[in-house]
Amino acid sequence: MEVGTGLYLMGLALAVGLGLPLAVIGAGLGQGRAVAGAMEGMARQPEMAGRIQTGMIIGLAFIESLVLFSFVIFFLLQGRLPTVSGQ
Amino acid sequence: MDGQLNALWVWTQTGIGANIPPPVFSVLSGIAALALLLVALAATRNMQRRPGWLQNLAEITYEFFDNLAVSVVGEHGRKYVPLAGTIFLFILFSNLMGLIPPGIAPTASLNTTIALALIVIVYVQYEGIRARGLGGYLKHFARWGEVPVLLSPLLFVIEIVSELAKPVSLSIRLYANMFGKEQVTMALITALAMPLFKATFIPLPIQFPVLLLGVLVAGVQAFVFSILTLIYLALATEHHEEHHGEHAHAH
Repeated sequence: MEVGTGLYLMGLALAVGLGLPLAVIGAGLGQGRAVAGAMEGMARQPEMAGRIQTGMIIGLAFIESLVLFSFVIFFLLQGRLPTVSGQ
Repeated sequence: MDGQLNALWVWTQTGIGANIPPPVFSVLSGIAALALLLVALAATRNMQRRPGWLQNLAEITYEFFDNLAVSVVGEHGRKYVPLAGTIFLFILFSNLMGLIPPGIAPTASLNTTIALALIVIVYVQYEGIRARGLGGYLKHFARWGEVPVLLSPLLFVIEIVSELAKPVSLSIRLYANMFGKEQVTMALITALAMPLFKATFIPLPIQFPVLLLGVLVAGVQAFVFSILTLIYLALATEHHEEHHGEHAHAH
């Protein structure tokens, strides 16, 4: 196998394996902050809980969609990985 | 035989087996729409002053979206209730279809979600033009009168790009959620449940927690899609209302 192909496959494997977890780390931190803020708001003003919750869910969906974009990329890249034969 | 059994199991659990041709998703979304229509007819036919459970459910759903539209868009948001509510119910029905074993969620295909997103975005542009007029609509893109004149062309381009990004993010969010759920289910079956069954003949439902999460995701994504519809409509028509307010004050 040529060096270039090997490097390409190595980069591909790293991208497939690490891309999604990195996105999940970032989105997890972001969602944690969002939920913490919303919970604090609800504890301070229980009468606003409904509206805060709606806003929180929309925010969470936005953050989550970023992960899902990288999830789609993950699937595109995964399809390019060759199957390993032998051994 | 082994591979066939594997594929059969995966298919009955997630609906993803071989490549599913797009017409299957069209037929499935048709079934979802038909089911929705039948439920709506059953709920509104023979309405009682003291409602039965189905009429009650329909009234609660309508009231919920009525309140939501008024709180997000304002008083003129009432006319968007049918659109937002229909989108919510259709996506909810579609998503839940994927949880009934041999079924596939029609929303697990990009074709369906892009169609839904295009309906929403085209309607948003239409409402934007109707609320502000064509000139006002273009001025809104350039933020005319809100920013220095030299900045307007730049903002115009940025706003056009962000407007084009709306249907993309709407459709990919829904698609990736449903597709992802099915893929994770399939991965758990083929990687854990199936080998375990072959080795010990104990059929453990390892994918079950993902399906529970799927019920939650089905509702949340349907809600997010419809509330984003309302938010986009509110953004497209908001200034119209403010001008009315100013006029009212002036008079």
